[in-house]
Amino acid sequence: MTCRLFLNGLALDTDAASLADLLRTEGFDLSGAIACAVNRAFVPRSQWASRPLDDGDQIDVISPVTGG
Amino acid sequence: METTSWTVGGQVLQSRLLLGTARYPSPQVLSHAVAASGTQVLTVGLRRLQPAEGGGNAFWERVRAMNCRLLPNTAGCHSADEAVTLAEMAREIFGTDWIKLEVVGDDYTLQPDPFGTVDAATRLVKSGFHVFAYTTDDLVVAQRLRDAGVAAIMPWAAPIGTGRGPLNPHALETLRARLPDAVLVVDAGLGRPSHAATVMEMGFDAVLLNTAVAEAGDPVRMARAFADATRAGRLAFEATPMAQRQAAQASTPTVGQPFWHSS
Repeated sequence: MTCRLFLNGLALDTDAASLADLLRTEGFDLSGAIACAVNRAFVPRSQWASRPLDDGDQIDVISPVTGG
Repeated sequence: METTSWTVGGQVLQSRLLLGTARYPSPQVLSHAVAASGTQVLTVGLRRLQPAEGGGNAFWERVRAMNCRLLPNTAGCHSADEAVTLAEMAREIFGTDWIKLEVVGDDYTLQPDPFGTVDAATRLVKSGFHVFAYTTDDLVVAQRLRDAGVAAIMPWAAPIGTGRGPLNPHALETLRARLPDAVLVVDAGLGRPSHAATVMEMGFDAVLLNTAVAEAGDPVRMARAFADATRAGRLAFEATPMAQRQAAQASTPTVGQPFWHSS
């Protein structure tokens, strides 16, 4: 089932069944230094494969950058 | 001669200079500046990743090679909820319970939100984080952060990135006097090594800076200058500076002064 969600602020239509599927489909390296939140709540890496997606979900994928 | 070591977040450190990793002219200059500073703690940030950008892995690999402890920040968060979520994400990525807590209260001055900061600090400490809380020089907020159990209270000297140095030395001295057992780190607003020396002479445990080194004409040389100034300030504090006097007092003995005769 296709749902419309927001990935890092951009609208996206996807058939991905789980957060892990979405990340893989969108080209993220799942073994890389990334972390995820769905609807502003942290989703641990161990739950990516089992985390279903719903219409309107807001997904953030972050990685290390320089910082002060 | 070395300064005494200090302990923060369960870690014994020798260097009292914490360094940010942003705004350097190049990754190579960053690496050289880190080496010149002798720092043992680097701050890092987290931002959205677009796969097409190649990800943050190159930066991550470079920073890991520096063999410093990492202090991820929650820069840009405007609420306690955002900061707590970002801290949880940082803990997973970096594998550390250390978090530099920043909750912005005003976008123009980047002044921290004291209420959001105390709220987030309280929740994060309960979740097992060692919280390094960026705050203003307000004494009561600092006391609330101490009561929350943070690892370090980090008052600003001046707004972030201004390089203006301690704008309210009295407030900083008051913090040190009223919180003698807290770990106090001056964070933000330092522009010159003399600023670092000044606050270290007051008895602050360490300084944290970024722009003052990164945007110097020669960041590597400036990193070393800040390291020396921080060490000098701390040594001076440990040595106990002399008391100030109102009137002049000759340092050369007056007894035996030549050419003096009673008439």
